[in-house]
Amino acid sequence: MTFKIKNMIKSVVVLCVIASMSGLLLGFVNKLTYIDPLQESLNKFNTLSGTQATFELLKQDDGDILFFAKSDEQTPVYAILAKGGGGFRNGIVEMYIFIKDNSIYKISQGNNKETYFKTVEKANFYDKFYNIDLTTADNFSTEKADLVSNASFTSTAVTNAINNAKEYYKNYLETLTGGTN
Amino acid sequence: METLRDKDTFLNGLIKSNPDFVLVLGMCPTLAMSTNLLQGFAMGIATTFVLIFSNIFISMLRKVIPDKIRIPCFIIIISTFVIIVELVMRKYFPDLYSTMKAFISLIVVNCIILARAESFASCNKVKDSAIDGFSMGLGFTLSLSALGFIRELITSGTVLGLSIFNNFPQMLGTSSKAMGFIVLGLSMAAFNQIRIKNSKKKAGVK
Repeated sequence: MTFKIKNMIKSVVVLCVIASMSGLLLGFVNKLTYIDPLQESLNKFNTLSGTQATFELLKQDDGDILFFAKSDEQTPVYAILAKGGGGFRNGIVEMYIFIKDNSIYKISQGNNKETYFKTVEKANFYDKFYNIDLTTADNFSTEKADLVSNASFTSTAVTNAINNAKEYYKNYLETLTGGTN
Repeated sequence: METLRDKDTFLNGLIKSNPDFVLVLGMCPTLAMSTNLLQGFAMGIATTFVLIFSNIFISMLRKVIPDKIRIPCFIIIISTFVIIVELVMRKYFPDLYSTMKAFISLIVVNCIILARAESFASCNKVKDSAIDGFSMGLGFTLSLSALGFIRELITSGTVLGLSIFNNFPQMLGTSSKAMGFIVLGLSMAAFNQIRIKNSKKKAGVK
Protein backbone atom coordinates (compact mmCIF):
# COMPACT_ATOMS: atom_id res chain seq x y z
CA MET A 1 0.00 0.00 0.00
CA THR A 2 2.74 2.42 1.05
CA PHE A 3 4.70 1.35 -2.05
CA LYS A 4 1.74 2.12 -4.32
CA ILE A 5 1.22 5.56 -2.76
CA LYS A 6 4.93 6.28 -3.03
CA ASN A 7 4.84 5.38 -6.73
CA MET A 8 1.77 7.49 -7.26
CA ILE A 9 3.36 10.50 -5.58
CA LYS A 10 6.52 10.01 -7.65
CA SER A 11 4.46 9.93 -10.87
CA VAL A 12 2.57 13.08 -9.94
CA VAL A 13 5.79 14.91 -9.02
CA VAL A 14 7.51 13.87 -12.27
CA LEU A 15 4.53 14.95 -14.38
CA CYS A 16 4.30 18.27 -12.53
CA VAL A 17 8.01 18.97 -12.95
CA ILE A 18 7.96 18.14 -16.68
CA ALA A 19 4.83 20.23 -17.24
CA SER A 20 6.31 23.17 -15.29
CA MET A 21 9.58 23.02 -17.22
CA SER A 22 7.61 22.92 -20.49
CA GLY A 23 5.58 25.91 -19.37
CA LEU A 24 8.70 27.88 -18.50
CA LEU A 25 10.36 27.04 -21.81
CA LEU A 26 7.23 27.97 -23.77
CA GLY A 27 6.86 31.21 -21.83
CA PHE A 28 10.42 32.14 -22.71
CA VAL A 29 9.99 31.29 -26.42
CA ASN A 30 6.64 33.10 -26.49
CA LYS A 31 8.31 36.21 -25.13
CA LEU A 32 10.94 36.04 -27.87
CA THR A 33 8.46 35.47 -30.67
CA TYR A 34 5.53 37.56 -29.42
CA ILE A 35 3.62 39.44 -32.12
CA ASP A 36 1.29 42.24 -31.07
CA PRO A 37 -2.13 41.19 -32.52
CA LEU A 38 -3.06 44.81 -33.30
CA GLN A 39 0.18 45.47 -35.16
CA GLU A 40 -0.12 42.13 -36.97
CA SER A 41 -3.65 42.96 -38.11
CA LEU A 42 -2.74 46.48 -39.23
CA ASN A 43 0.17 45.07 -41.22
CA LYS A 44 -2.15 42.51 -42.79
CA PHE A 45 -4.69 45.26 -43.61
CA ASN A 46 -1.94 47.17 -45.39
CA THR A 47 -0.53 44.25 -47.36
CA LEU A 48 -3.83 42.61 -48.28
CA SER A 49 -5.88 45.71 -49.11
CA GLY A 50 -3.81 46.56 -52.17
CA THR A 51 -3.75 50.25 -51.25
CA GLN A 52 -0.78 52.35 -50.20
CA ALA A 53 -2.90 54.08 -47.56
CA THR A 54 -2.43 53.93 -43.80
CA PHE A 55 -5.16 52.29 -41.74
CA GLU A 56 -6.57 53.94 -38.66
CA LEU A 57 -8.07 51.65 -36.03
CA LEU A 58 -11.74 52.37 -35.31
CA LYS A 59 -12.55 49.45 -33.07
CA GLN A 60 -10.79 46.67 -31.21
CA ASP A 61 -12.84 43.99 -29.49
CA ASP A 62 -12.94 40.36 -28.40
CA GLY A 63 -16.36 39.69 -29.93
CA ASP A 64 -17.16 38.70 -33.50
CA ILE A 65 -15.33 41.74 -34.84
CA LEU A 66 -11.73 41.74 -33.66
CA PHE A 67 -10.45 44.81 -35.51
CA PHE A 68 -12.18 47.42 -37.62
CA ALA A 69 -10.04 49.97 -39.44
CA LYS A 70 -10.43 52.67 -42.06
CA SER A 71 -7.89 53.87 -44.61
CA ASP A 72 -7.04 57.56 -44.91
CA GLU A 73 -8.03 57.84 -48.60
CA GLN A 74 -10.70 60.00 -50.19
CA THR A 75 -12.78 56.92 -50.88
CA PRO A 76 -11.87 54.98 -47.77
CA VAL A 77 -11.28 51.26 -47.60
CA TYR A 78 -12.77 49.62 -44.53
CA ALA A 79 -10.87 46.61 -43.26
CA ILE A 80 -12.46 44.16 -40.86
CA LEU A 81 -11.01 41.14 -39.08
CA ALA A 82 -14.11 39.12 -38.25
CA LYS A 83 -14.68 35.79 -36.57
CA GLY A 84 -17.13 33.14 -37.77
CA GLY A 85 -18.25 30.01 -35.98
CA GLY A 86 -19.49 26.72 -37.37
CA GLY A 87 -16.23 25.34 -38.71
CA PHE A 88 -15.16 21.74 -38.29
CA ARG A 89 -16.01 20.58 -34.74
CA ASN A 90 -17.46 24.04 -34.14
CA GLY A 91 -14.13 25.64 -35.00
CA ILE A 92 -13.79 29.37 -35.43
CA VAL A 93 -12.21 31.03 -38.46
CA GLU A 94 -10.92 34.58 -38.68
CA MET A 95 -11.39 36.39 -41.99
CA TYR A 96 -9.93 39.62 -43.35
CA ILE A 97 -12.66 41.49 -45.23
CA PHE A 98 -12.10 44.66 -47.25
CA ILE A 99 -14.94 46.99 -48.18
CA LYS A 100 -14.91 49.89 -50.63
CA ASP A 101 -17.95 51.83 -51.88
CA ASN A 102 -20.22 49.72 -49.64
CA SER A 103 -19.22 46.42 -51.23
CA ILE A 104 -16.66 43.77 -50.45
CA TYR A 105 -13.77 43.67 -52.90
CA LYS A 106 -11.36 41.34 -51.14
CA ILE A 107 -11.55 38.45 -48.66
CA SER A 108 -8.62 36.60 -47.17
CA GLN A 109 -8.27 33.95 -44.48
CA GLY A 110 -6.90 34.76 -41.04
CA ASN A 111 -6.17 32.42 -38.13
CA ASN A 112 -8.01 29.13 -38.23
CA LYS A 113 -7.49 25.43 -37.77
CA GLU A 114 -9.47 24.27 -40.81
CA THR A 115 -7.78 21.75 -43.09
CA TYR A 116 -10.14 22.32 -46.04
CA PHE A 117 -9.48 26.00 -46.69
CA LYS A 118 -7.73 25.22 -49.97
CA THR A 119 -10.91 23.55 -51.23
CA VAL A 120 -12.89 26.68 -50.37
CA GLU A 121 -10.40 28.96 -52.12
CA LYS A 122 -10.08 26.72 -55.18
CA ALA A 123 -13.87 26.73 -55.59
CA ASN A 124 -13.74 30.56 -55.89
CA PHE A 125 -16.19 30.66 -53.00
CA TYR A 126 -15.39 34.29 -52.15
CA ASP A 127 -16.62 35.50 -55.58
CA LYS A 128 -20.27 35.36 -54.54
CA PHE A 129 -19.66 37.95 -51.79
CA TYR A 130 -17.99 40.52 -54.05
CA ASN A 131 -19.63 43.61 -55.55
CA ILE A 132 -22.87 43.36 -53.57
CA ASP A 133 -24.21 46.49 -51.89
CA LEU A 134 -23.88 45.63 -48.21
CA THR A 135 -26.27 48.35 -47.09
CA THR A 136 -29.20 46.65 -48.80
CA ALA A 137 -28.10 43.00 -48.92
CA ASP A 138 -29.62 40.29 -46.74
CA ASN A 139 -27.44 37.89 -44.81
CA PHE A 140 -25.57 35.44 -47.00
CA SER A 141 -27.04 31.97 -46.89
CA THR A 142 -25.45 29.04 -45.05
CA GLU A 143 -27.84 26.53 -46.64
CA LYS A 144 -26.11 23.37 -47.86
CA ALA A 145 -26.69 24.23 -51.53
CA ASP A 146 -24.81 27.52 -51.13
CA LEU A 147 -21.72 25.97 -49.55
CA VAL A 148 -18.68 24.25 -50.99
CA SER A 149 -19.11 20.51 -51.19
CA ASN A 150 -16.41 18.65 -49.24
CA ALA A 151 -15.77 21.78 -47.18
CA SER A 152 -19.23 22.60 -45.89
CA PHE A 153 -18.06 23.31 -42.31
CA THR A 154 -15.29 25.64 -43.43
CA SER A 155 -17.49 27.47 -45.93
CA THR A 156 -20.20 27.85 -43.24
CA ALA A 157 -17.67 29.46 -40.90
CA VAL A 158 -16.44 31.76 -43.69
CA THR A 159 -20.00 32.81 -44.52
CA ASN A 160 -20.75 33.45 -40.83
CA ALA A 161 -17.64 35.63 -40.51
CA ILE A 162 -18.65 37.63 -43.59
CA ASN A 163 -22.22 38.03 -42.27
CA ASN A 164 -20.83 39.30 -38.95
CA ALA A 165 -18.64 41.80 -40.80
CA LYS A 166 -21.53 42.90 -43.01
CA GLU A 167 -23.83 43.45 -40.00
CA TYR A 168 -21.15 45.39 -38.18
CA TYR A 169 -20.43 47.58 -41.20
CA LYS A 170 -24.14 48.28 -41.70
CA ASN A 171 -24.54 49.29 -38.05
CA TYR A 172 -21.46 51.47 -38.28
CA LEU A 173 -22.88 53.33 -41.29
CA GLU A 174 -26.22 53.78 -39.55
CA THR A 175 -24.50 55.27 -36.52
CA LEU A 176 -22.57 57.63 -38.79
CA THR A 177 -25.69 58.82 -40.57
CA GLY A 178 -27.63 59.05 -37.31
CA GLY A 179 -30.01 56.22 -38.20
CA THR A 180 -31.37 53.70 -35.77
CA ASN A 181 -28.88 51.13 -34.53
CA MET B 1 33.45 1.20 -33.07
CA GLU B 2 31.46 4.11 -31.68
CA THR B 3 31.66 5.90 -35.05
CA LEU B 4 30.49 2.76 -36.85
CA ARG B 5 27.48 2.48 -34.56
CA ASP B 6 26.69 6.19 -35.07
CA LYS B 7 26.88 5.66 -38.83
CA ASP B 8 24.53 2.68 -38.54
CA THR B 9 22.05 4.67 -36.46
CA PHE B 10 22.25 7.48 -38.99
CA LEU B 11 21.74 5.27 -42.05
CA ASN B 12 18.95 3.43 -40.30
CA GLY B 13 16.62 6.43 -40.32
CA LEU B 14 17.75 7.64 -43.68
CA ILE B 15 17.52 4.44 -45.72
CA LYS B 16 17.01 1.12 -43.88
CA SER B 17 14.06 2.33 -41.79
CA ASN B 18 13.04 5.41 -43.74
CA PRO B 19 9.85 6.54 -41.97
CA ASP B 20 7.91 7.24 -45.16
CA PHE B 21 9.04 4.69 -47.69
CA VAL B 22 9.93 1.73 -45.45
CA LEU B 23 8.09 2.05 -42.13
CA VAL B 24 5.09 3.78 -43.79
CA LEU B 25 4.64 6.11 -40.81
CA GLY B 26 3.35 9.69 -40.86
CA MET B 27 1.21 9.18 -43.97
CA CYS B 28 -1.23 11.96 -43.05
CA PRO B 29 1.28 14.85 -43.25
CA THR B 30 3.03 13.09 -46.13
CA LEU B 31 -0.03 13.15 -48.36
CA ALA B 32 -1.32 16.51 -47.20
CA MET B 33 1.91 18.47 -47.23
CA SER B 34 3.66 17.05 -50.28
CA THR B 35 1.63 19.01 -52.82
CA ASN B 36 4.67 21.18 -53.48
CA LEU B 37 8.38 21.15 -52.70
CA LEU B 38 8.43 24.10 -50.29
CA GLN B 39 5.63 22.75 -48.09
CA GLY B 40 7.11 19.26 -48.08
CA PHE B 41 10.55 20.55 -47.13
CA ALA B 42 9.19 22.87 -44.42
CA MET B 43 7.09 20.09 -42.92
CA GLY B 44 10.14 17.81 -42.90
CA ILE B 45 12.32 20.41 -41.18
CA ALA B 46 9.62 21.11 -38.56
CA THR B 47 9.28 17.39 -37.84
CA THR B 48 13.08 16.96 -37.70
CA PHE B 49 13.37 19.73 -35.10
CA VAL B 50 10.68 18.13 -32.95
CA LEU B 51 12.20 14.65 -33.39
CA ILE B 52 15.72 15.72 -32.38
CA PHE B 53 14.74 17.69 -29.30
CA SER B 54 12.01 15.37 -28.06
CA ASN B 55 14.40 12.42 -28.46
CA ILE B 56 17.13 14.28 -26.52
CA PHE B 57 14.85 15.23 -23.64
CA ILE B 58 13.11 11.87 -23.44
CA SER B 59 16.48 10.13 -23.41
CA MET B 60 17.76 12.49 -20.69
CA LEU B 61 14.72 11.82 -18.53
CA ARG B 62 14.35 8.10 -19.31
CA LYS B 63 15.58 6.99 -15.87
CA VAL B 64 13.36 9.48 -14.03
CA ILE B 65 10.08 8.92 -15.87
CA PRO B 66 8.03 6.09 -14.28
CA ASP B 67 6.98 3.45 -16.79
CA LYS B 68 3.26 3.84 -16.14
CA ILE B 69 3.16 7.54 -17.01
CA ARG B 70 5.69 7.51 -19.82
CA ILE B 71 3.19 8.24 -22.61
CA PRO B 72 1.72 11.40 -20.98
CA CYS B 73 5.28 12.56 -20.26
CA PHE B 74 6.32 11.95 -23.89
CA ILE B 75 3.28 13.82 -25.16
CA ILE B 76 4.04 16.85 -22.93
CA ILE B 77 7.63 16.93 -24.17
CA ILE B 78 6.66 16.47 -27.83
CA SER B 79 3.88 19.07 -27.71
CA THR B 80 6.26 21.60 -26.11
CA PHE B 81 8.56 21.41 -29.13
CA VAL B 82 5.66 21.45 -31.57
CA ILE B 83 4.40 24.69 -29.99
CA ILE B 84 7.92 26.13 -30.22
CA VAL B 85 7.95 25.32 -33.96
CA GLU B 86 4.53 26.97 -34.31
CA LEU B 87 5.61 30.13 -32.49
CA VAL B 88 8.81 30.46 -34.52
CA MET B 89 7.06 29.82 -37.84
CA ARG B 90 4.31 32.28 -36.99
CA LYS B 91 6.84 34.99 -36.26
CA TYR B 92 9.39 34.42 -39.03
CA PHE B 93 7.49 32.59 -41.81
CA PRO B 94 3.90 33.88 -41.54
CA ASP B 95 2.88 33.04 -45.13
CA LEU B 96 4.15 29.49 -44.93
CA TYR B 97 2.64 29.11 -41.47
CA SER B 98 -0.79 30.24 -42.66
CA THR B 99 -0.91 27.44 -45.23
CA MET B 100 0.54 24.75 -42.96
CA LYS B 101 -0.72 25.60 -39.47
CA ALA B 102 -3.27 22.82 -39.10
CA PHE B 103 -0.67 20.22 -39.99
CA ILE B 104 2.06 21.77 -37.82
CA SER B 105 -0.17 21.30 -34.75
CA LEU B 106 -0.79 17.72 -35.81
CA ILE B 107 2.93 16.88 -35.51
CA VAL B 108 2.08 16.15 -31.85
CA VAL B 109 0.25 13.01 -32.94
CA ASN B 110 2.64 12.11 -35.74
CA CYS B 111 3.38 8.44 -35.18
CA ILE B 112 7.05 8.76 -36.25
CA ILE B 113 7.78 10.95 -33.23
CA LEU B 114 5.95 8.87 -30.65
CA ALA B 115 7.36 5.67 -32.18
CA ARG B 116 10.95 6.94 -31.91
CA ALA B 117 10.34 8.17 -28.37
CA GLU B 118 8.89 4.86 -27.29
CA SER B 119 11.14 2.46 -29.17
CA PHE B 120 14.47 4.31 -29.25
CA ALA B 121 14.89 7.42 -27.09
CA SER B 122 13.37 5.87 -23.97
CA CYS B 123 16.02 3.12 -23.93
CA ASN B 124 19.12 4.71 -25.50
CA LYS B 125 21.75 7.30 -24.64
CA VAL B 126 21.27 11.00 -25.39
CA LYS B 127 23.82 11.09 -28.22
CA ASP B 128 22.36 8.04 -29.98
CA SER B 129 18.84 9.41 -29.56
CA ALA B 130 19.86 12.75 -31.05
CA ILE B 131 21.44 10.99 -34.05
CA ASP B 132 18.36 8.80 -34.44
CA GLY B 133 16.08 11.86 -34.33
CA PHE B 134 18.24 13.65 -36.88
CA SER B 135 18.44 10.70 -39.28
CA MET B 136 14.72 9.88 -39.02
CA GLY B 137 13.90 13.55 -39.54
CA LEU B 138 16.26 13.79 -42.49
CA GLY B 139 14.77 10.65 -44.02
CA PHE B 140 11.28 12.12 -43.59
CA THR B 141 12.38 15.50 -45.01
CA LEU B 142 14.01 13.94 -48.06
CA SER B 143 11.05 11.72 -48.87
CA LEU B 144 8.56 14.58 -48.39
CA SER B 145 10.71 16.88 -50.53
CA ALA B 146 11.02 14.25 -53.26
CA LEU B 147 7.26 13.73 -53.29
CA GLY B 148 6.67 17.50 -53.22
CA PHE B 149 9.08 17.97 -56.12
CA ILE B 150 7.37 15.31 -58.26
CA ARG B 151 3.84 16.42 -57.42
CA GLU B 152 4.56 20.11 -58.02
CA LEU B 153 6.27 19.30 -61.30
CA ILE B 154 3.49 17.13 -62.70
CA THR B 155 0.72 19.39 -61.39
CA SER B 156 1.90 22.76 -62.62
CA GLY B 157 5.26 22.27 -64.33
CA THR B 158 7.01 24.34 -61.67
CA VAL B 159 9.61 23.75 -58.95
CA LEU B 160 9.55 26.09 -55.95
CA GLY B 161 7.16 28.24 -57.95
CA LEU B 162 9.62 28.65 -60.83
CA SER B 163 8.37 27.55 -64.21
CA ILE B 164 10.35 24.62 -65.64
CA PHE B 165 8.28 23.82 -68.72
CA ASN B 166 6.73 26.55 -70.84
CA ASN B 167 3.05 26.08 -71.69
CA PHE B 168 2.78 23.11 -69.33
CA PRO B 169 -0.51 21.28 -70.03
CA GLN B 170 -2.84 21.23 -67.04
CA MET B 171 -3.66 17.56 -66.63
CA LEU B 172 -6.96 16.73 -65.00
CA GLY B 173 -6.67 15.38 -61.48
CA THR B 174 -2.91 15.70 -61.05
CA SER B 175 -3.33 17.86 -57.96
CA SER B 176 -5.83 15.47 -56.40
CA LYS B 177 -5.28 13.33 -53.33
CA ALA B 178 -5.61 10.22 -55.51
CA MET B 179 -2.59 11.36 -57.50
CA GLY B 180 -0.79 11.86 -54.18
CA PHE B 181 -1.38 8.21 -53.35
CA ILE B 182 -0.21 7.10 -56.80
CA VAL B 183 3.00 9.17 -56.63
CA LEU B 184 3.64 7.94 -53.09
CA GLY B 185 3.11 4.31 -54.10
CA LEU B 186 5.38 4.53 -57.13
CA SER B 187 8.11 6.38 -55.17
CA MET B 188 7.87 3.81 -52.38
CA ALA B 189 8.21 0.95 -54.87
CA ALA B 190 11.22 2.56 -56.57
CA PHE B 191 12.92 3.36 -53.25
CA ASN B 192 12.46 -0.16 -51.90
CA GLN B 193 13.55 -1.76 -55.16
CA ILE B 194 16.85 0.15 -55.02
CA ARG B 195 17.25 -0.43 -51.28
CA ILE B 196 16.71 -4.22 -51.53
CA LYS B 197 18.95 -4.50 -54.59
CA ASN B 198 21.76 -2.68 -52.78
CA SER B 199 21.44 -4.71 -49.60
CA LYS B 200 21.51 -7.95 -51.64
CA LYS B 201 24.57 -6.68 -53.47
CA LYS B 202 26.29 -5.96 -50.15
CA ALA B 203 25.38 -9.38 -48.78
CA GLY B 204 26.65 -11.02 -51.98
CA VAL B 205 23.30 -12.58 -52.91
CA LYS B 206 22.60 -12.86 -56.61
